Amino acid sequence: MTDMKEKPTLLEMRNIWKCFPGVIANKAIHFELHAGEVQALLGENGAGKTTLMNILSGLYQPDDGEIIIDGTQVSLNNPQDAIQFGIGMVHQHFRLVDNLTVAENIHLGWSETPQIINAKKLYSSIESLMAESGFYCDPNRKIEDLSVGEQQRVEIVKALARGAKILILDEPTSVLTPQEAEDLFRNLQKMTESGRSVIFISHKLDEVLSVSDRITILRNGENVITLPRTESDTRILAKHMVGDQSFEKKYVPGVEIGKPVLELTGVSATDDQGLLALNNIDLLIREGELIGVAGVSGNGQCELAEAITGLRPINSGQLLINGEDWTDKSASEMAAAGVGHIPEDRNKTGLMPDLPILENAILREYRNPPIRKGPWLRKGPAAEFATRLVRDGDVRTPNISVAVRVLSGGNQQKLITQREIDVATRVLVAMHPTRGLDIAATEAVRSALIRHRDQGVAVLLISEDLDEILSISDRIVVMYEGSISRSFTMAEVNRDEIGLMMGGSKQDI
Amino acid sequence: MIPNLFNAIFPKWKLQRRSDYSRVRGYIFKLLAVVLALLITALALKVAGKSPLELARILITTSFTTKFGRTQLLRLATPLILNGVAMLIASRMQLFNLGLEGQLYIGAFAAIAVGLHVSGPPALVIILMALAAMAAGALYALIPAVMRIKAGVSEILTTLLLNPLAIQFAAYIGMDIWRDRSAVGGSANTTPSIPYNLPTFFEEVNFGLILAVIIVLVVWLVFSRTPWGYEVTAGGSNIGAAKYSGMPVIKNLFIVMLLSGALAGLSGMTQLVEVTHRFSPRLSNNLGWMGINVAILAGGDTLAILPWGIFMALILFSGTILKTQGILDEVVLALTGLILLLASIGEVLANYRLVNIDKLEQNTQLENYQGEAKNEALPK
Repeated sequence: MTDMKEKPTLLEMRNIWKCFPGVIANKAIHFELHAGEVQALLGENGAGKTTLMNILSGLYQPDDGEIIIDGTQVSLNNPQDAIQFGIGMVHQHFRLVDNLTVAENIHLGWSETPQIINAKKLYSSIESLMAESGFYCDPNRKIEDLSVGEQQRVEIVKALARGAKILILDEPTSVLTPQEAEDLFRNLQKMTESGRSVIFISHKLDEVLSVSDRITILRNGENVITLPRTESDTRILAKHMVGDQSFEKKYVPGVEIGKPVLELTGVSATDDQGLLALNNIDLLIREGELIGVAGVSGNGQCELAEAITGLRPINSGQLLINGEDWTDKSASEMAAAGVGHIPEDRNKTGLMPDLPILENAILREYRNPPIRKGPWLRKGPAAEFATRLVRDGDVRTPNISVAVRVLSGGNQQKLITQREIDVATRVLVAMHPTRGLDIAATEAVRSALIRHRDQGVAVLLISEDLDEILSISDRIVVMYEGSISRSFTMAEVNRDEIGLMMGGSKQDI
Repeated sequence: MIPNLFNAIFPKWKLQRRSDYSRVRGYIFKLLAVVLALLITALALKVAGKSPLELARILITTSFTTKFGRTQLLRLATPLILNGVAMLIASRMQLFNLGLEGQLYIGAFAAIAVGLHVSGPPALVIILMALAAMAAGALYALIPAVMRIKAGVSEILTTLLLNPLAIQFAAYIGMDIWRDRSAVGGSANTTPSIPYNLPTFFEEVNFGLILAVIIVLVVWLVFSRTPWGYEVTAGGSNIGAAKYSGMPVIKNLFIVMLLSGALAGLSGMTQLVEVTHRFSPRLSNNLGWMGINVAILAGGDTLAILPWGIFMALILFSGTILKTQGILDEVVLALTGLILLLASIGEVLANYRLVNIDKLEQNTQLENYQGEAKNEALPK
């Protein structure tokens, strides 16, 4: 954080090229990392950040280019090579064995693991390591019992244990509460004091500014610029990140809020393991209103969406739509009642990736005329319907018979969004609707939600992205451990308070 | 797997996955694989001192120019087509019914039970036999279906393990309790013969084949033109999406598995009434297994079951003919294995192309350009 020029260069990546079928992920990228610095790698989805880091961690081999560590050129043919040269990566999706303990996970596949092991020995060697690094959690606990933030600490300690001088973190805060993220940043700063360096992949501008010494921005697989933190602010970063695209958000709050549409009273439900996941939920959404549900993943949001859309049985309580009782109906009945659902995971539930757009478009509509007529499914009306969805949703595709898997994530999500908007004549439940999308697609999906709200539909937005919730909701509720707070208007709350409620340290305001 | 192996052997060249999938290319690769398998077999025969061309001539003339050959071929194709379509129905929903052979035997057992113990007008008895065979085949498939759906046990294992059970049961029935004691010396190893026959059309085309063709057409129609067919396709493609849409996924899994078993059972009945007339553990001779081959060769394509069924029948029939030329019919089993192996490899390779490492970058850039061109929006 002092003058950068005094710090020696630890790593240099020169002229890195990497091509995949149909896309050049890295075009002649240069990247330089000093010892003891936190450098952010900033860019939209598909900018090439993760590819570049996968090359550095030995998962991919570059098609061209050189990697120089401590002044010597190295070739990283596999992750083991990278570990040997002191490179450790914490992936966005953790690579831990759920039913082993923390200590066992760290020892797994580690060259220093003793040949004959016993639990006590494993425990004690990890205990001190964790305490020293500042990333602490009990080495005897099983991974499946840990929170996401704790699991992340395990991943970091795993990398440090293997002698990582360069720690790569791929979107580390996407799963953390604001407080957990702050802890992480503080510990990272401490780490750099011992000469270690951190590469921090992100697309969140605020945290990039708060934690890194320098910021390298990639766009479309190419270098844009590397800036010291002192010379940048969110506006500058955003401009470099998205290029010449205009970057301005204007969302008008809903004005014509009408009569109640969706009403949950005292709704409780269990998760797949039979544990209570929704605890006495009360929620009311009116016509033309968009309510945002903030909260860290795994606090019942998924179950809430499923209970409303008929995918999860409701144990007690009542679900009303327009004053009529719709408790415990099936998913198809809820769809017929006008409840649309943009699901959490587009590949696991939202789409059938291997099937053409046509089959995916009619997923919710195939039971209804004109697509269904008597015992038949009619291809003509189905194709017309699919073509209309593609047009209305601005899905970029050559035709409707290409497999959905070849579409970009943004176009896949636009297809789902348009399909569910078509279903949602009364209620639209949108879960993480913009996760993993680039800015353009994110804007498209958000404005589609807003437009639909303005048509008089009740919209429930569930998201981990607090910025998203704050920017488009009319009112906000916070979920924590299966309970839901009362709803707040935007004027009533600020970020910090919501953050505290998400972390469970504040029940109400 | 295959691409990795390939790269290890030829470092200068690379197998690159194609970004598009072409059905025609798939067919071409499969046909090439079949031709290659035939060539390899021909070479082996040549080495063994036989003339492959002469054998091929005999095979073709016997199969197609004699009435005996044609009727045999079609009768052999019937159970292959039925089992092929049975396999295909299940695999539409990602279920792998490797128990066709067993279901076939159980179906045939139900049919012989009716045939031997129910008396009435022949037409009625035959209809009863068919219904009993389908019900029995479906029931036998119900066991793995329940185990899969209620307890999550892989149907690949359960269906497989139920096969020997069915065949041993057939041995018990045919060679012991219902053994034909009226045969000379009372030593027949089969049940008595049933006096029923299915009609034949144009003196050559057996009724079972007509039935099989009709079933293939109906299945094709159901899968391509009905909401239920769409539900099965969706469930097989992504079960999560099917549940999310509110489809009765569990019910469809049951139906699909039972239908698959019913068709295998029906093939046991046609085999019994049109070919053997007696029930014994030699009734099928791997017809259920060969049906799996037919389905694999046809890919997901229902109508392709018909030509591949007849092709597989030709291959099996060649065994009979080769025997008359003093060649063991095990050669044929080896040939079917070879065809399946090469066709499977061909199917994978159809999705790849060969590129020189040095030219990789250029190609990728070109493809990138094409990709961008493709991403244009539809005209408004």
